[in-house]
Amino acid sequence: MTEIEARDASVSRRSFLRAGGVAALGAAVAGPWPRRAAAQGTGPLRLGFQVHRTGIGAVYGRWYERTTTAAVKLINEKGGIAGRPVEIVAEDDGTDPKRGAEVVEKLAVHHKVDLIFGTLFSHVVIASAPRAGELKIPYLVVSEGYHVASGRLNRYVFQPGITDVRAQVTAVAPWILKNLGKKVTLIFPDYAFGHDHRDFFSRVATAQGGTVRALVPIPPTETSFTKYFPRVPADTEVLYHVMVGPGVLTFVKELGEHFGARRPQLFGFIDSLEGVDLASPGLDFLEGTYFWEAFPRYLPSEAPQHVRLYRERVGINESGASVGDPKDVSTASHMFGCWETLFVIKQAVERSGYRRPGADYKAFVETLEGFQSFPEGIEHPQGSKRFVGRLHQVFGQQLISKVEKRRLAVVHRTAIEDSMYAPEADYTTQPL
Amino acid sequence: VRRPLAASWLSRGRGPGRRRVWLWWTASVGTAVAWPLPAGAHAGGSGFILLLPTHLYVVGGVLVVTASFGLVALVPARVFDRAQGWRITLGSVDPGRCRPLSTAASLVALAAVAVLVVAGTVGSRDPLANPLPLMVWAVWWIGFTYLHAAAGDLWAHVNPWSGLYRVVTGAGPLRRLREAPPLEYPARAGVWPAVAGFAAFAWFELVYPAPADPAVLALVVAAYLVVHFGGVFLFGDAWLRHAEVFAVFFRAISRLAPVGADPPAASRPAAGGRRAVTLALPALRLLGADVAGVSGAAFLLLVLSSVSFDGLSRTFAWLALLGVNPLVHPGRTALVAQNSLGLVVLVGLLAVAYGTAVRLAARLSGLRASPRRLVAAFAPSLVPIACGYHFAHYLPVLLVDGQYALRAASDPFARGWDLLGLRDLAVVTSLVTDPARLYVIWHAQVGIIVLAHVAGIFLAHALALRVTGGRAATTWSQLPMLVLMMGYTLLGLWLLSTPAVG
Repeated sequence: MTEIEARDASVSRRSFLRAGGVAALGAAVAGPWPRRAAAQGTGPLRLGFQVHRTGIGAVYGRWYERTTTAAVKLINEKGGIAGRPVEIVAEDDGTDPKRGAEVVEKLAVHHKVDLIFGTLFSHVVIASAPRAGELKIPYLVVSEGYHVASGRLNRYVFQPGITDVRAQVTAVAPWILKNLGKKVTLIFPDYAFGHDHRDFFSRVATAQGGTVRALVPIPPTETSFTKYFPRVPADTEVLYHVMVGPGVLTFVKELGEHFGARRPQLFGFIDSLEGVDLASPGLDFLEGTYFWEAFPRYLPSEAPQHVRLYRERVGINESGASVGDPKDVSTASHMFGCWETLFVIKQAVERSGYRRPGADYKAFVETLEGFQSFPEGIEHPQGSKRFVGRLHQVFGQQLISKVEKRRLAVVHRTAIEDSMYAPEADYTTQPL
Repeated sequence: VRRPLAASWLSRGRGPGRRRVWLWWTASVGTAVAWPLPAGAHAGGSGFILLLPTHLYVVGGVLVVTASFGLVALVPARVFDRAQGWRITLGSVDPGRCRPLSTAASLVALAAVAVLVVAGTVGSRDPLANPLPLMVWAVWWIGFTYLHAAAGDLWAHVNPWSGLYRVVTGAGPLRRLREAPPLEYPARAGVWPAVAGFAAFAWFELVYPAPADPAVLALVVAAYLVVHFGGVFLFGDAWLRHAEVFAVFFRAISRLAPVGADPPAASRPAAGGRRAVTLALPALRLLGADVAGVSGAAFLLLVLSSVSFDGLSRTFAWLALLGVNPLVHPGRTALVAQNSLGLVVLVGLLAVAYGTAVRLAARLSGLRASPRRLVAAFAPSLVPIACGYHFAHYLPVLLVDGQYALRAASDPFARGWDLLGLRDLAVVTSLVTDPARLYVIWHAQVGIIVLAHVAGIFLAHALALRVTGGRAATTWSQLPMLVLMMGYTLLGLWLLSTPAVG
């Protein structure tokens, strides 16, 4: 019996059926208009889901939607949140920052949802979050960006379900230096995403006795990479790469053509190849190289039951691809964030006594800020977490995986403490 | 012997039947729905295409088009005549007796549109769960276009206006509305209203930030429905033939179809008004089409350039030109002005290129004809190219969003229904992300682009033969058109090969 099953064994059959019935009723009348019961805090808990259904985030959005649907189904099966069935109100933002802000407003004002969650792409988060702050509605992003913990956003914005890029780099850098080599060259796309890696990695590496031998920025529209490789110093021991976009496959192929068997160690971030089969053409050269993952795409043999249950509910097979479409590879290292965020919402709503939009937000925000940890289990299948209330940011374990036989095998799991850095913000001092 | 162009075939197409035929085909050229596909910050999809030696495909495609020009030049004029006239009669229909069926089909279509508009308003806010955007942008705009290219002009029967109009004006006091419409559709208006309508449609689809937003789309569809009901009640059937954008569009596309109903004059006059349903060689019905003058040519140029712009506006090259980082695409909202301008410029460029090619062609063959007539005369050769672009550009969208449409149709109002038993259909998106499947689709796209241009070359040559009376000068006169076709093949294949966002 899994953790949640054990805990909820006390839920009576009658209350379960009642919650299910209410959930069904909620689904039956789903529409754009808020219902009186919801407004009074007795009907379904309506969660606004800002989703990248279209635009450049569509691949991620598809899996965010599937994971969200699976989590909500499980939550409703177990009696909903505070006894109320959960209803998702999804709005596409087109991965468009300006539309993102409009979607926040539409969800809050027009649909009168209780909370908003789910935004991924950083530029959309950064454009949308101020509107959530103005409207004073909790806005829980699943973005991986450092923008929350940096203090750049506002008191209503949280990232409780996924770790940020600074924490990820901070956690893996010491392992890279210790196990792969101390002389590192970074190849990164020349914009904010790449710059984060450049800055965070350089900071940790130099502090820990490593040397950044060269920084090789690549223009985002580049499609041929061979001309950049001569800028990698000959004594480089580790090539740290974080390329993204359609050029990645060509990048790897040309990397192989340039370095061949005499390559340095390679360390990359799975962001480069989320949703892409590692057995795809052009990726042969990655055999024996290392990647950061947040969640094992390929099911480890020793995976606990809650991980298996999570994968089953979301609908991914042992290779991290869709059960219904085995060639459709999931965005495993990101989408779990929606699942975990929804269970954090559940916990915060239930503990704060939240009932309806408006005055109850204060209790919700303060309760969430008071959280310190989340135990591993079906609610947090990625692993246990620490939550830093002043940063509104969760911290967790990071995985280092090796490409073996065109699959990823986890070789190291960092401790949560490995990813912690000195806080640079304190949202709790801002007025509500 | 220099015959004015109009004397050859345009003048033969003056009858109402001929005009209708031409207008059908005018519509065929494909528009592009800005429907987002997985790409952009994602490594799959177009990333796999970048691994192919795409430059060889581009060169090969252009060479095939060039070679086809050489081959076509060797074909005697009489072969073209024979090919154009080739028919296998499949049967015949009596338009009068079929009308009730057509009326019923149109009424059903109207009901379906009404249901979709309601679904768009009160159904799911998710554009991949609400049936309205999926039915409009995938099933209708893409699927219906394919259907017209294969099976002829269905829109003439399943448009949502004609049925209600016929019923309302079939008897009683409103009967006079049909017998003598309050306003006469001015002949000189040609299909210009449809050109304006298509321009608005293309802008909405390609530039407006949220064309798939269910509520926005519901408003647009409802408004379109009302405007054209107004048009048909004021101007009669002529409005639906000339001013309704998709009547013009689908009619043009349907001229590519091997199946079609020949007008009475072309079949047996003794048949008592019955129309022969015949099988012809694909695309050759275009040679018998009545071009609606400059406005018809403008419509086709607009369609072709808008589909091209949909492809172009997603390329890294275009975004780099705008100074935009495609990996953090700022969204359509931020690019409304730039894309509006880009669309206009591309339409202008294509119009100038086409106009120049046609005038040069006339000069080289010694033809004396007004530029307006020349522009109209060669326009049918644009139809297969526009349709080919449409097919190539939207094939992946149809394959994936068609599945979402089935799911959405099962629960159109998000009420938990499962009308078709498909609500939980597992949508196979790997069609456009798995390399093996992607390569099959991509090769089909490349093939259709090349084939479309070969068809364009053939048609342009046949049209030139007709207007010059089969003189030898035709081959030389077609060199400017060849250059235009080569250029467009190049552009089409490049658009398929270059990195792009979704």
